[in-house]
Amino acid sequence: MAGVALPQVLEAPIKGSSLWRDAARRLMRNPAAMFGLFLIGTFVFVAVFAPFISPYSPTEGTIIHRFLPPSGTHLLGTDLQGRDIFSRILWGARSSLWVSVLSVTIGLTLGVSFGAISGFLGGWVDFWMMRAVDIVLSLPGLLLTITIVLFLGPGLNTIALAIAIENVPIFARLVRSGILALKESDFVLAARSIGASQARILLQHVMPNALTPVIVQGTLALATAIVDAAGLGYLGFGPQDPATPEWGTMLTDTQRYLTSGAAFTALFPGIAIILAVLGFNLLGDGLREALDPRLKR
Amino acid sequence: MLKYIVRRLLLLIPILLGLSLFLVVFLHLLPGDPCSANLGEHSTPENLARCRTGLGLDRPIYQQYFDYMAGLLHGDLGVSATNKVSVTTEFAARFPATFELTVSAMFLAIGVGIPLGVAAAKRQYSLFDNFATVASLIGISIPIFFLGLLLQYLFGVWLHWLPTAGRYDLATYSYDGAGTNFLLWESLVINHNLAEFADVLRHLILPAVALGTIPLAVVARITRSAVLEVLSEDYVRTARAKGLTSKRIDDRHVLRNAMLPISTVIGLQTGLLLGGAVLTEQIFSWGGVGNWLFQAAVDKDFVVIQSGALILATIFVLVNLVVDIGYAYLNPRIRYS
Repeated sequence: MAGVALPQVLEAPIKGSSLWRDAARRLMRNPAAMFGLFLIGTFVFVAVFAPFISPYSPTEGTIIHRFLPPSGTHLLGTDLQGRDIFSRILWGARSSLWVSVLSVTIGLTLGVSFGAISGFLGGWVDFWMMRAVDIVLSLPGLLLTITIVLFLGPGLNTIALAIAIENVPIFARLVRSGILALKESDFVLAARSIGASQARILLQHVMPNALTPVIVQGTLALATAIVDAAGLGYLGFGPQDPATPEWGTMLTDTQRYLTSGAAFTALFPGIAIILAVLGFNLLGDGLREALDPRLKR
Repeated sequence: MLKYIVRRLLLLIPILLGLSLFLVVFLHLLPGDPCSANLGEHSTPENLARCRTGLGLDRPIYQQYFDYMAGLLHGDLGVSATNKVSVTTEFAARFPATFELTVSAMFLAIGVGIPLGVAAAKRQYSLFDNFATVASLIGISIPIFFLGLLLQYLFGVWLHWLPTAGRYDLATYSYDGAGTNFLLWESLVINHNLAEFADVLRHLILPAVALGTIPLAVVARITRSAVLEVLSEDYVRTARAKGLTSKRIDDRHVLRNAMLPISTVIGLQTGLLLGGAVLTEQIFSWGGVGNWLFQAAVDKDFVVIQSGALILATIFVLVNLVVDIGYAYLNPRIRYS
């Protein structure tokens, strides 16, 4: 009887588990991460469907209806030009989503390529490429971003580019150190010794492991990008076209009216930023725990 | 140890060389220069040309770089194109403001963050731990300018408890140029004026809380996870088994070992704050380094941006060197050679 039971016991975990499936299962069991995913889902949904779900035009309002407090007709009230704040927040999600996704895509692509080349080639190429990374990293981040935006001009795309440049060295370092460690690891040696092909080792063993920290960092970088973009918008470098609402810019617009009993106009864009950022931070934390089995609770 | 410090300091030279080259090339590649920023769109080509010749911007870029570097080697960090004030003078006047703000913010971050993290770790998954975890997550998610505005509104506009801008009450006190510009020091130690000291302190509270919140949350998170890790070590169990008091275990075994990752984070955050408090300084009209370099970027003031970035990079490297030396003190197993 034992002879029958044994293979089943051995087979079950091997059959149903892989790095990704295990991680996904761990992630699903983490309520905080799931809440983060819910926030992100809402954020993306709102950004995509803003034109269909916003009750008013985000850009048109009448001055006589300015600074209306939150009510049934205007859920979150109106701003200094009588525009519906709720609609502007929904549309503002588009700006934040666009900047964060664009900046992380550019930063991640350039950074991962840079780091992978550096790590694979090694030697002098690696040395000089990493010194370049050191140099960019020694610069204060926000100041670098502000300088780039000031020289290239304001707008969502320049903001995204500036944030991307800040992200490149971070991703480059992460991938390089991953590859260096994995090149020497026992499981790569083991894979080689059982005769796995070079391509199989690279794709099945090295890259998935080298990319896991990148996925975590990428998620957290989306959060940072939203904060940075709002900060740049707050400083006045957001989209100059008033037809494109942006959360940071909305805060500046109403900041001067804090004393006039219209403080709520500044409160809601701020809360929107926090919720979106919190979503990516929660998911990032959850991914880190899920992807690194050693951190298991 | 000394050899290690000297070597680390020598490593600064190639970084600064590379950084200066990067900055000069990078800034010249971007569109615009101090003249176009100063004179505006409607200036005549003659005026622009005269301005560029005056600042030496019409020379080939390699010559500009070599002249700039020659100046640096003589300790000359250059002169602002906008107000003709030397970078050294301006930095010396503004650094004390940034320094006082950073130290207060980090004081808050360390003083509250570490106890919070330790308390959360010792009651893992308790109500308090969950509350602290959520609070610190919100802390790292809140944009600093929004927090600054909230604080200004709540404690300034609404409650009238604290001033919301500047470093001191302009109507009552004056600090005109003379002195160190370290106002806490100046008011207490040099002027012996408690009322003045209290005034400076009151101005410091809101910006320090705004700037310190993110580091506080980061420190609390890393402390919690570092303490949790150490608590599961065998030597902690051994210490408990041989009957040491729990206070002694905490002080001698847990905290000392957990301090390694915590001090890394503290060093990084301090380095970041010393150079990057742009938003906080902007919101609270704090005349520090962040405000100055922000204005330099607006004016496309090449020399100020270049020299300012070099100074900040140096500070960043030095702060991290101090942290690494701290490591050796905290952990006798680490010996630098």
